[in-house]
Amino acid sequence: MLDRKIGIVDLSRNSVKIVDMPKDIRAKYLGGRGINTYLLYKLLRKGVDPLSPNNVLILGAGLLTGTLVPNSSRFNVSTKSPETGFLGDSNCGGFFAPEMRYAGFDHIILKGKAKKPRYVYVEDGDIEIRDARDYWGMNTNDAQVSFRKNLGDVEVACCGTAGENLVRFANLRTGVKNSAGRCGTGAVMGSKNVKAVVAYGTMGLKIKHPQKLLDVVKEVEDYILGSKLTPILGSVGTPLLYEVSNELGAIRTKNSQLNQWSDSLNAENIEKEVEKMIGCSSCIVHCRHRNKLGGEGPEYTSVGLLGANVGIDDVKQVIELQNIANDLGLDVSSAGTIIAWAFELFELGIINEKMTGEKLEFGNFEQARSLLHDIAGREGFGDILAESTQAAKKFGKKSEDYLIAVKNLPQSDPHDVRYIKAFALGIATASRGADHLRSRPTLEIFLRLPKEVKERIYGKGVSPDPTSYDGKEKTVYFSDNIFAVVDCLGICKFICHGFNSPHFLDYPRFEALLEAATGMKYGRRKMEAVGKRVIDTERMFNIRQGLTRKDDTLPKRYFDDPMPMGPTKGHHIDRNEFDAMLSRYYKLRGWDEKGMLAPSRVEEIKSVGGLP
Amino acid sequence: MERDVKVRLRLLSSLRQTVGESELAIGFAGGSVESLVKEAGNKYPKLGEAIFAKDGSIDYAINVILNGRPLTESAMKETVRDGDEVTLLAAAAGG
Repeated sequence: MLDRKIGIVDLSRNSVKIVDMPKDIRAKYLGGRGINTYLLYKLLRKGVDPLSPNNVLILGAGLLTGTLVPNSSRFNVSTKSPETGFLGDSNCGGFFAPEMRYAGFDHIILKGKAKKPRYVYVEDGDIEIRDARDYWGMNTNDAQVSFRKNLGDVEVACCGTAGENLVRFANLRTGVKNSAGRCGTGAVMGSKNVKAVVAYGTMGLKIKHPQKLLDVVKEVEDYILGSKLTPILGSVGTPLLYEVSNELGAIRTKNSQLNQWSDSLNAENIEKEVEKMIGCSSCIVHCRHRNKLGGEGPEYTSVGLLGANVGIDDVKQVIELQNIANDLGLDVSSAGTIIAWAFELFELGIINEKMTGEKLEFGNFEQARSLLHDIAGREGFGDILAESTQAAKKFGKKSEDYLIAVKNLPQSDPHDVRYIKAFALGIATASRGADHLRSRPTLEIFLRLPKEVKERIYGKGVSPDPTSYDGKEKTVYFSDNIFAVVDCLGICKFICHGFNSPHFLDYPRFEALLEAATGMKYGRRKMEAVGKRVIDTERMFNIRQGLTRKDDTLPKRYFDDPMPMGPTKGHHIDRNEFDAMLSRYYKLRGWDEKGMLAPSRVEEIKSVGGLP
Repeated sequence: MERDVKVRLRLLSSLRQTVGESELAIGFAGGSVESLVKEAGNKYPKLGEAIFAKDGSIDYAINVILNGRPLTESAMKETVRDGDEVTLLAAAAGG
């Protein structure tokens, strides 16, 4: 379990170095996101151009990834984001990461830039840099099929043409839908002239206490499968959330001009287009759809952002847009947000046909489909949209008022956060920008959760009212920490305490799984400390790249435009209340009023050590 | 007992499948939102399975909306009036 290596691939020099995992780094960060973040902090200096050879792209498997532990399929891809200029980090499921571990590696670092298209081949302790000319120009589905046809039963993490063309929200894909979707990981891969990392392994993971792990896994499986929520997620998947958000009046619609949309996108209609439900490696939930249109999904995110947010209400059209975006290797969250932004800017006259080449309008499926292709190919107006939030440089200063993004990252959550204040703080402070998978305290949407239950989970003083600001910094703080821990372990957030349910896996079960698998003994405090350390290290990375308190904010619309419809009508974010909540969050983290870490903490983290 | 409080009970998301209907017209003797929801759960066993916790209380994952207004737990004691619309919605999260 602890013998997997770090592979350092220098593409400029066409060389590979393989090193052991330093024990101190393992102990302090466990694996996955944590170790990636630390390595990123150590390797990158201030002001690195994300699309230059000086950036690095790190693929890192979670410490329990590839074991029998339920839902332990995950890995993180980390870099300096070409979309945001800050931390780029994305968590992904599927089957790639277990294969990478079976091939002998926990982390693979890509540095430099190859002279010609290459792919990185990993098998049983060895790494080769190989010619990728036969795969360059392919999109993600064809590329993966071709690699398998030529190399056998391999697992592939690749970029599509969007990544080759340096689209700032190009992603890295494995399988039909799984992706390290956020922050432009695919663009960084493309900038290095790398098409894919391909893995094949036969090196099993040696479990420290096999019988104990079997016992703990059985108990955890029974516990998860005993939840009412598990069969719902396993039969309907995340699209059920669309109706929850829509009914509350909190579904982002037409670039958040509206907050409710059509019932036609409800899960029951999506189910008609579903062939079957499938899962990732070791998954016991099976939340993913295989759709009848030749792809997987849609997730709630796709339904919201390629449906309501761009004004489309036809399920088949939404699924088709999502399948196209996935194949091209585009992040659906950024794609749906950026296209909707452009639509509204056109409506407002901030941009016009001279720039766009045609009239832009919400609800125009053909147009949205064409734009996805144009973005991936950087053709026409798509070339501007391919710049993501940085297109504001072309659109003009006024366009920023309508941009639904934080830290230059378009918001991923289709949920309009003006209603639930903790959600707002979550996206404002998330280390990679406006994203719900870093710290969203989802239990806030359980509107009847009593004060005593919330206080038991999050701490004293947390208001049971989701529209209140009182104590909500504690909900984000708790979620930040535990989500960072599951990302280090390689476990899916769907079975993590506080993400889907107040009854899913909490620290004690993580501790039991970790000890059985690795022999590493971590009590609650020590494990939570890992989460805090990850958050602090990510903060240090971002501060080095220029982040300040003013970046921990929200889209202007969330402050200034009250929600116009439904049960949430009238809600918005009060600037003073938000500011006070942000200060309380900083204090909880041990950061000063400017959001800076104490010098002693910086030194403590720096002293963990580096690579041999 | 007279059932003179007529309530429109909407069932959304996964709850719809429990009774095969998205809406029920409930005749109710009167009382709180909580008592109405419990009565519906007892009358329709599959709905009850979905909305009741093991101790017989209404599961916290069930959001309740009264006439378009989401209710906190303390607001579940509010009185249901003739013609009210009560919506039940199973909360969940995801990505």
